[in-house]
Amino acid sequence: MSAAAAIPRAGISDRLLGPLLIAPVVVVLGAVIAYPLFAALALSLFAVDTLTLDAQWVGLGNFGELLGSDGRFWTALVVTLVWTAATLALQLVLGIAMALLLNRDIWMRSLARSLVLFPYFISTVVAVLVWRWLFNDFFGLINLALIGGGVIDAPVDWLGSMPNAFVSLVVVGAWKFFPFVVIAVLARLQSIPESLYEAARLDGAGVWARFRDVTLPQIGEVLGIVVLLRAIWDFKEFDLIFLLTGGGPIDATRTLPLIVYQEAFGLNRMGMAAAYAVSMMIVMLGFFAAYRAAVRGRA
Amino acid sequence: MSAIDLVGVRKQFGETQVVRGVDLAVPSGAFLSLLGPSGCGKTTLLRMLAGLETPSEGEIRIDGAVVNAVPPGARDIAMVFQSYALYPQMTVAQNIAYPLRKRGVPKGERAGRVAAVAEMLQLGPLLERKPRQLSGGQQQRVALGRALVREPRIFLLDEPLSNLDATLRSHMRAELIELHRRIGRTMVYVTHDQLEAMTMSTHIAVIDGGVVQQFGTPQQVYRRPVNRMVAGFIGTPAMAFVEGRVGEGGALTLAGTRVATVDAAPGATPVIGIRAEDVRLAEIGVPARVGLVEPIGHETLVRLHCDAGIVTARLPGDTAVQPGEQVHFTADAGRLHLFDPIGGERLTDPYQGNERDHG
Ligand SMILES: Nc1ncnc2c1ncn2[C@@H]1O[C@H](COP(=O)(O)OP(=O)(O)OP(=O)(O)O)[C@@H](O)[C@H]1O
Ligand SMILES: [Mg+2]
Repeated sequence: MSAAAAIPRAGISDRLLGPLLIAPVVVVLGAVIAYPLFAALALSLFAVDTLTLDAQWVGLGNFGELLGSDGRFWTALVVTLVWTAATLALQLVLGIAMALLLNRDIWMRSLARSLVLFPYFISTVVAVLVWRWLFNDFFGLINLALIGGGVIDAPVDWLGSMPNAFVSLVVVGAWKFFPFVVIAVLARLQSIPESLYEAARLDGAGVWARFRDVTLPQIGEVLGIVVLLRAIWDFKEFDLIFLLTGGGPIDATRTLPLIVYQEAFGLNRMGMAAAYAVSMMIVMLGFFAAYRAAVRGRA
Repeated sequence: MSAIDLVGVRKQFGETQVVRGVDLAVPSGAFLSLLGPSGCGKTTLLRMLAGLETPSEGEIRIDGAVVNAVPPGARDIAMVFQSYALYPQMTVAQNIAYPLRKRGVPKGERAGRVAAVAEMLQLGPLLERKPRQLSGGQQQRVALGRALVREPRIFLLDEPLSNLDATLRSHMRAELIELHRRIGRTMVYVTHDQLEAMTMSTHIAVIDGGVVQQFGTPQQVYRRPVNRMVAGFIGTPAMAFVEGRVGEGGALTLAGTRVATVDAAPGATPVIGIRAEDVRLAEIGVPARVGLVEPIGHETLVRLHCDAGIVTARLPGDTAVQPGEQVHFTADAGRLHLFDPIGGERLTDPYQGNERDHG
């Protein structure tokens, strides 16, 4: 009967119980989100040696160097933005097309639905290793196939020259991450009432008009979220680029996260690395604000 | 000339036969109701007319031309979906204009036609709203508007009133009748509400088990149902079925009381169908005990339990009977419906003399 009342409370009042219950979450979030954030902000104001952790207050000096002198920041920012935009666009096109295909009654649909997720689940290291083999200019399958098919007559250097390296990077990025778009869009596609398509057919809409007037408006909201999330993730993508081109040739594919790494562990300038990281955060905040404004403007 | 001809139309989904050979000729300008219990294949039939489903067998003709292979958009047909299927991101005006836009009607003309339709359906003040800002009845009018604006040859309506409350429903029913009268186009209307079918249609096709059981005017279907299924489906309260017995000289008895003379062999046991409004209480007749009494104001429905089964009587509102009371009832011989006890088909005109005055 009074089981609830019988639970021993060890003298904890209701007012204390609530805060106590959420305390573990607060502590964990504080440790993994708030602390690194403030630590990075603080670090960016010092000149810190990665190995000795000797710190010297420099104020905004790191940022001054970053924005001025050699223009590395600006070059990398442009590379990062172009990479993000290009790979995201390709992910969207591939992802939407694949979701549309998988939403139809095709042969072996459930198998195809699982297979398409493969690139997303496979570890980046493994994926990049496989792609590097494929791209290899001596024995890579891509060169062999293109030569065999008579498209080219000498092997192409896919990763070591521009613009090939950048294109390869964008393609591998799209291949790796488009399944995310597929999952999100497919889930939404399945909830679009069939009668909308039927009404459109009766109204005289062709395939393209049905996509534009029925499908696209329905998946618009989901696409907005997908674009936001993927833009953030692509913007700060590190391992794929680091492993595939390492930022090369020279610095043609060097994005901001790669510079952060280079500063921190190549040049042992932890403070400078933090300054780059904080700058990235500011850029992303700017995009996020613009995104929010755009979404609110439409609603 | 008929607007729609169905010739031997069949449809199966995998192993399931849903429509099993339908032949139907719908006259031009008719308001045809497809009436039948749930799952009998009404929607499937309508979708085949629209071109959203291809018949497994048979031919569909519109104005004489076979349209089996004609895509929905090219059939000059408009359909109002049960779910309305309005485009959620478009305003009411854009929804109504959509079929015109897809058919390349110039912008100026579009606006005029949308305005005319909006006027007819009293949608004027709602034109700039989105579908989700409308009530069910308003959405339905928009769906109707989107169908009307094109002035198609044929309108298909799939239970368009089923989501509405009783008041709005009877209001929309009247509007649809009025609309049909005004534009004079052929309309095919799916419903499982027999009252709706009776009041709105010029023609009814009663469907069961994927087959047209009867096709005719509401009066024909009501007065001369061709089988027990149709008889039981049309009319409220439902027709009562009791066992009859044919004696010497064709004397048809109900619970031992002679009710008619029929042209049948002695020993036959036809099923007698009796409509509630044909039953009267009388001094002499079939003895019965009064069961449930339902006064509904201007009339009273009384269930009469006799030896052969239960008969419902529709009596004047001031009838004073009590449950449990013993009474006698009769019905005009000419108003009895006789059905085969096994197959359920109507036994042909046992009383030709009496049939005429209400056929
Ligand atoms: N695409 C389909 N695949 C398999 N079976 C189907 C399909 N469409 C309809 N059916 C079956 O066909 C039968 C008739 O369906 P239909 O929708 O035509 O019935 P209905 O008369 O419109 O019923 P209701 O009054 O409930 O709307 C049902 O048993 C249904 O399960
Ligand atoms: Mg139906």
